[in-house]
Amino acid sequence: MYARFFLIPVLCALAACGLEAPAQGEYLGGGPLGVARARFEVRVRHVDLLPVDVFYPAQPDGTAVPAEGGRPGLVFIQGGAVDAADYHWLARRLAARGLVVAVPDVRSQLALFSVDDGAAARALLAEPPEGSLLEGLVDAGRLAVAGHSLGGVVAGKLALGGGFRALAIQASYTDGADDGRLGELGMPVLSLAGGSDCSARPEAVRKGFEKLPSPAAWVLLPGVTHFQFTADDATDRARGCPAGTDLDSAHDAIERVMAGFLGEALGPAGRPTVDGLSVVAGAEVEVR
Amino acid sequence: MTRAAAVGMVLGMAGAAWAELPSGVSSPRVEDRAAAYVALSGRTVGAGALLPTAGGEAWGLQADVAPADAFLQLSAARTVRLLPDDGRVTRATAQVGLDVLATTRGPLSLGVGPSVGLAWGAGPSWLGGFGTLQAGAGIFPVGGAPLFRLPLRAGLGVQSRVGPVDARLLLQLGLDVNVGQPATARTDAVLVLGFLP
Repeated sequence: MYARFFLIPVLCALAACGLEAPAQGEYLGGGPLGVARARFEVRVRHVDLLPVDVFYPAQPDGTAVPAEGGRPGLVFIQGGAVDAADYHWLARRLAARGLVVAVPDVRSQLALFSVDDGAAARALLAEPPEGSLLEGLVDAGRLAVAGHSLGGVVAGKLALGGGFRALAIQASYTDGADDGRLGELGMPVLSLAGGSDCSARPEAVRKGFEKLPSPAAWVLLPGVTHFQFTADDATDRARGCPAGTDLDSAHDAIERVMAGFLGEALGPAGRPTVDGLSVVAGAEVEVR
Repeated sequence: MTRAAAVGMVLGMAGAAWAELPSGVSSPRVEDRAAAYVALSGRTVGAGALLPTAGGEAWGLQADVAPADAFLQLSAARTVRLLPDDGRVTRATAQVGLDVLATTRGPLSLGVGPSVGLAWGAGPSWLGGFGTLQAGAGIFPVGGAPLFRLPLRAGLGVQSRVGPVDARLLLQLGLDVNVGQPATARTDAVLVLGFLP
């Protein structure tokens, strides 16, 4: 352990070790496509290293499965005080549907204080390190950004910064300070709300949706709570916020809506449809 | 956010505070004899020395590494006593220094820039409170897009001197103003242990 923290940096300083940019990852198992995960390191602001976990369609040996023209990509921003790993369930499921998903692990768990971390994750997908598994894997013209809760606010800021083709906000809304710039978004936006969310109440999320420029999609999932967007809804239970559905069902619903939105927004049509988002029974869907 | 999560973030889960001045001089006291220091924060490990000169002034030198960020910082600073430290309960110092930063892994990134600071404290030497303010200006012309960074730090801590051992615990909050890029918030807790033979 001590060697890891003291000896390795010294040896690396002498031997000029590189940053983590693996050529293959850890195979996680099957699905429509097999999925693997690999951890990259990205230098940000010159003085920080940002770990980014990437989930991608893979062969059992952990190498990537390329697609003609490149695969669509997604950068996912964690919520406030929530571990980035709590969103790996979604990243893994979307990767099984063909996307390459990058989840930056913002150490502070407050992505709002280092918004450029998300931009660095985007750059990792769009301009990957030479020789890494990401080389030639992602279509840089089909990148989306998404986030949950505080991560949704940050995702909105990243989308305004450019370089993305779609934005998905989970249980969140854009920063009021950005209201004057929302007209510049120029991309389809999904506002995905939980009907039993006690932290980002559906009424507040709906108000945020109404400020979004067209094309914008609204999906309200009945019974879903704030932390059911993460790997564990224990926080909801501890706060006395009852869910109207179990965690597995909530995950299935979130996955289907996200996949439906990203498939259309990053596809040839470039915009979501009511039909494409009507994938969960009882969900409220609106597209304008 | 739970209380435990909030405390955890303040105590080091956030990005390194990168104390810009050597620990030996970032103190309300100017020691009258040479001292050696180690400084441990949530992200960094450092070692330094304090070399007093005449007239209530001293040089401080320190090297810090941030293993998780693969970064090395070398800093040198001069500290000057602002209030006499002749048994009074209040004391204050001012510092000016220079930092050099370099990556230890991956593409080379280099930064350099000056830092200034103030430290003031009150209380008997065996247990007192103190505060610090630091500001710097760092330019990173090598490695990636050039960056001009203005780190600002404020800290509050406690200090205790028992025999030859000087111990300080400092909680730092700060902001890196990155010109042309989003600012970065910094928080950290720094434990400084000094030995004055």
